[in-house]
Amino acid sequence: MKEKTEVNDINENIYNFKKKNDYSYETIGLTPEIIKEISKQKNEPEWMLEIRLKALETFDKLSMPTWGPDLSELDMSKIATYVKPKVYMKKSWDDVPEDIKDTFDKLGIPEAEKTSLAGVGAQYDSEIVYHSIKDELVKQGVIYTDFDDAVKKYPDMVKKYFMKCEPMTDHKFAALHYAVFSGGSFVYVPKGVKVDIPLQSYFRLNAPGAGQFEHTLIIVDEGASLQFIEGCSAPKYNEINLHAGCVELFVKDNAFLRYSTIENWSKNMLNLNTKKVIVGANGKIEWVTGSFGSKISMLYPMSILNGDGAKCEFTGISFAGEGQNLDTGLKIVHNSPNTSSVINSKSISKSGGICTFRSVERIRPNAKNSKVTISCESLMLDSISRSDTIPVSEIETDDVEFSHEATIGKISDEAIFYLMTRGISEEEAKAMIVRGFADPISKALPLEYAVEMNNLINLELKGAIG
Amino acid sequence: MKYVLNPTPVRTANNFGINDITLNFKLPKTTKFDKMSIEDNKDLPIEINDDSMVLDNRIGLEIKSNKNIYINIPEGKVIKDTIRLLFKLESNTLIDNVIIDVGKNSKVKLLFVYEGTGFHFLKQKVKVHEYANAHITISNMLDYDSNSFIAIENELEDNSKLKHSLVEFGGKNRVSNYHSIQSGFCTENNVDTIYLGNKDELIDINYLIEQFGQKSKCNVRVQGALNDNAQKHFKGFIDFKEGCTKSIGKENENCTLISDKAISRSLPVLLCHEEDVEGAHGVSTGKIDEKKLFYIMTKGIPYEAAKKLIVKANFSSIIKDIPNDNCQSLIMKRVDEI
Repeated sequence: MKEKTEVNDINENIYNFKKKNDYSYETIGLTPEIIKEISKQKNEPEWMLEIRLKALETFDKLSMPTWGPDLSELDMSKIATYVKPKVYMKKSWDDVPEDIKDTFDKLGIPEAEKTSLAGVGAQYDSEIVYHSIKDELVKQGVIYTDFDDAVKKYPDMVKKYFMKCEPMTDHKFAALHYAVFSGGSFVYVPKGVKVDIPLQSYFRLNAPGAGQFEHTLIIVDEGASLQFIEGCSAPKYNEINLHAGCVELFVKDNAFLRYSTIENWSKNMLNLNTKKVIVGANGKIEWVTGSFGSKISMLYPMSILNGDGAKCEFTGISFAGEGQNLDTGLKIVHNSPNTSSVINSKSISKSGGICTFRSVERIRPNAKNSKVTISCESLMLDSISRSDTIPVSEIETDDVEFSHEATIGKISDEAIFYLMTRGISEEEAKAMIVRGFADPISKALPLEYAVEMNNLINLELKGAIG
Repeated sequence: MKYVLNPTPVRTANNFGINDITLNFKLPKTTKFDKMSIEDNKDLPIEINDDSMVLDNRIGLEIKSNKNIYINIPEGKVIKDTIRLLFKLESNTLIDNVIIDVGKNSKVKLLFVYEGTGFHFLKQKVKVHEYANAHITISNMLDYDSNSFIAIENELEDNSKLKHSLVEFGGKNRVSNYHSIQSGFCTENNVDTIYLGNKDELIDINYLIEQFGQKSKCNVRVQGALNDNAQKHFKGFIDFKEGCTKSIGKENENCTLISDKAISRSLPVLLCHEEDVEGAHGVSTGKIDEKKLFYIMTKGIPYEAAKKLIVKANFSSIIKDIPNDNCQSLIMKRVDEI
């Protein structure tokens, strides 16, 4: 039997640099007093404080998930629920304190803003520290600002949409989110406006033992379109960090939204994020997701196809290495006639990592003439890893075309042999095949992010196969 | 009384509605069951008694048997004809505990047929020894006013083969649980299931095949049709354990919806802890293909008959392997009644 070359994982990467934990205010734990203090620090209206306190009650009532990865090491009394950096939101990178600016420089955000983005939001711990949007978009009525600013400047719009997509009662971590949320972005694209160049929000968690609970609310009005990119990372600490953000998306009739995420949280992070979209008639949501980081992820973006002819496309890849348990997938509800969804999910497990694809597809009785295609592929790079596929379908009408297929396997010996006959080393042949496996996701990303994703794959693969 | 039964071996979110099945029914008192016959037993030492034995089962129902059947196929014995065991329920209760031991190098085909009306619980435990080959068919043809529970547990030794053909046609509440342990090297376990749901029938199918041995093979094929307000849950798990290198596991479910009020829930799961395996599953659900219907109707066949013909055609690849013509005819007749 052929022996593998075992090389330890590389723990240091381009995302793993730490800055001094320098904040102006920090709260640890989760009590009504802490919630009131967070609200006071943010100078919020009374109605928002009431929502937070109600959410805390809901959090206490709801139980932990009885399925999925073990979350027993999460101790909310030790999590810094609010960490306010020593800076207010700036509109120029020159005004952002040097150490925070240096962080985002290393992550390539200001450079990307110059070359390929129409707007940028940068969150550091619990607060947005930088936000910008191109003047052309402002002139067309596009709003892209941080969430706190939106609460103050656009209260009617926030009240109309906030918590209407994702209720606090959905699950325990949605309730937690609404109790302590801070930061995040607000986007409104008016009717008929096409935002062809992406907007990006980047979330950086620097403080050890902290939680990040940003709220993203995006409304793409009728006939409008938007591409939005979300990036996230953190340096690695020995203690547990928590991410319980919430993304609420509204794609109105005939509108389009592509929501791309490259998630590379550090491997001490519990990533318990919630994402949901409501899609109107002939609207379309495209989810593009690359999950590489975190110790544990439980993330299942949900699409509610509410309008006639609404569409959902999901393209995602998960890459779990040593010590990682990535339980990801999606939820889709077909709630109107002629709706369709196409799902392509891929996962790679190595060095003891666990990848689970978990999904639910619901076809409601009125969703006549709906079509669903799901394809899941899992690649195992060794036998100490694990890969599970747990898809649920619930079909309540006969007028539907539903198909699901999944495969699990290793890298084909024939493919390696073929490449080796072309003079390519075995290790490089395997790496090429893994990169090819991830190619459909790379293609769905803007070039800069495809390059970033490929770099992440190369970094993860280094020393892992052979 | 309310029972929460047939739990999945791996849990998912409770609001997905598929982890368990909740049923309301009254557990009947058991009395002696007589309406049983065995055909073509070829003087095999089949032992039968009416002792009351507690039956451990993965469905989760606390129950005691009123019929115990022990079938031992001796080492090296090859039986060409199918041994048939027929059970006729007459508004009574049958809780049969069937233990089958298929000896080394032996070969056998067994057919269990359940008809009539009543409460039926089958616990079947099968051990297939080295190089043995068993094909077991269980045909549940009970009437609508019945409750049917089938719990099957198998163990396969080196180079053994086991095939189950399962016909899930009868009973308002129909719960089945199938658990195989492919512990041996180079074993093969195939499961062919057909189900048919009418009226407000509820079908809950929960399969788990665990592959431990190298070069294990399993193939689960499920074909079904749902009419009226029938509901079905299919939960199929193939679990590749660490060390089962070169194993192959496949499962496929195809559900035809004949009514727009029927509900189909599926959970086809692959669990993989071994790199060097091939796993695949597929599910397809939908109404009868209109192109096929149109083609058949152009040959002068009425709409209703054409529909039944297509359902029968979908079932045919599984039915043709059932080793009894009479049983095949009865199944086809049931499809004609939808």
